[in-house]
Amino acid sequence: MANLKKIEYVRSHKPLGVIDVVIITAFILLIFLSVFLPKLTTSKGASVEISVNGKASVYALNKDATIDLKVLKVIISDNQVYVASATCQNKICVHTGKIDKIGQTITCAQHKIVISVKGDNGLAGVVK
Amino acid sequence: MNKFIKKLLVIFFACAVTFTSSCAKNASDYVDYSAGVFSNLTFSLSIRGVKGNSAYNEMTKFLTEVDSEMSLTKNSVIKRFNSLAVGEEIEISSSLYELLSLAEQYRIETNGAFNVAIYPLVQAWHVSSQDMDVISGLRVPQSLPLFDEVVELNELSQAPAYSLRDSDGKYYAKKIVSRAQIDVGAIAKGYVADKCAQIAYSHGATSGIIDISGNVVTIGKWYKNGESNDFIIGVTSPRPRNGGGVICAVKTTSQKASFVTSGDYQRYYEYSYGDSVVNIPHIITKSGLPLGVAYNETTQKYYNLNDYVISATVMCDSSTYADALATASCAVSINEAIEILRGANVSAILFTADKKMYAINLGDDFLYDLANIDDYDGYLEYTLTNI
Repeated sequence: MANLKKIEYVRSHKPLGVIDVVIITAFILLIFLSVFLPKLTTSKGASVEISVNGKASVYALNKDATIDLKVLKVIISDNQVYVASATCQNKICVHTGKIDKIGQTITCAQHKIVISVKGDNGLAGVVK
Repeated sequence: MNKFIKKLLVIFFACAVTFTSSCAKNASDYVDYSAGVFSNLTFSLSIRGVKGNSAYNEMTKFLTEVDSEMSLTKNSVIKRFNSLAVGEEIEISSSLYELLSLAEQYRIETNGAFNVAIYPLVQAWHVSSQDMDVISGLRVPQSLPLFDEVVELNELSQAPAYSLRDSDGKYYAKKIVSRAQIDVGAIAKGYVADKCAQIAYSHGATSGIIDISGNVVTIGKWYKNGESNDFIIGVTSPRPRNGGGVICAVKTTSQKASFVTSGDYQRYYEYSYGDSVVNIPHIITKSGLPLGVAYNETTQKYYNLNDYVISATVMCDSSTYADALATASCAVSINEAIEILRGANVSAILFTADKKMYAINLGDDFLYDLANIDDYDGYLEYTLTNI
């Protein structure tokens, strides 16, 4: 009698199927992404990478600086970076305004310049 | 199934709570401070293990005192010393007594490459802190000093400018050379950085990083992401001038480490002859000419050399010593600089205008950190020699 009950219980409670695992995994991934992705994409940057024709230089975002690239004048001020002036006509880079979050970029297609905000550069400080 | 999901949820929330709490803890480990610009220096501090603002307050009080005593932009003790007649003396603080004692010791040790008595030359070349004020900007002069004047002022600067004595707990500096004038700017930043580190220790700091106008002192280990690590400090690229990123990085295993850089890429002006331009940096070499500058007797014009030290980073436990040696390394030829640095038994990285890089005594207390080599600006353009 007891065995029949057990058999009935096993029949009515199927073991974990493949679809169950997929749904659970997707569910967990969704939670992780919804919690941590915005945090990653909106967190404040630590450095600024300025790439001119593919050659990159990295600057600290917390140290004010003026970088004169001849065709653009880039200003790092108040933990933000922006293009103050440009020699081109449309000045899209100037109109982009100030950026400070990881992943944000200012692009000048005409002169192949990309200014992007990066995270921690792995340094505790910089001697100048 | 329900039990399985429950288990998963419990594990998930446990992980989330652990992650969140560890983030919160790390964020509060260090307390960051950034003080305004004093007349000659900037100051920032990141410190761990100190209650309240006691250490920061004591440091800014000390910096304010030193600034008013040693700055040449105010009616300071140094400024009053410079206006003394030969044989006259002036009472100075114990800090300035210690600083001037060290300066004389380093002048002798470096055979005159480090010299605080060059203020007459600093004025002649218009490279004083007033001329190169970080707030009001550069004042480019109408003309450069005549070469004969430079030679004369350089001879004047070679002799020791002062003698020191202490009596009944008071300290005095006497001018011993007529027209001698001093500027302690080349060593004062290092000195105050050392004192700030002492203050940090006295307040129980377990870890910290002090930045005095680009001179960096690290205390203890670097706590990052919940782990204790060696501090990693980037070295500013000397090119392009005023806009260089990080050219390389050094990891230190020491409990107290000082990093000081001198070079021609900050605090300089461009003088135009009309048909040519010469860069005049604030560092005066042993010849009396600014770093990287030479004189052409035929054209009677100054011009820039192409084989001089454009950046010298010195690393050791004393920031005062590192500051003096970084300046001294720029004041002489590359071979003399290497000799001075090896004799002093410090670690150093030198860059020259002809794209050479010399790493001296790296590998023990100070090690190359190449983890982010792809991010470094211009590193591969220099030919490295390990000494």
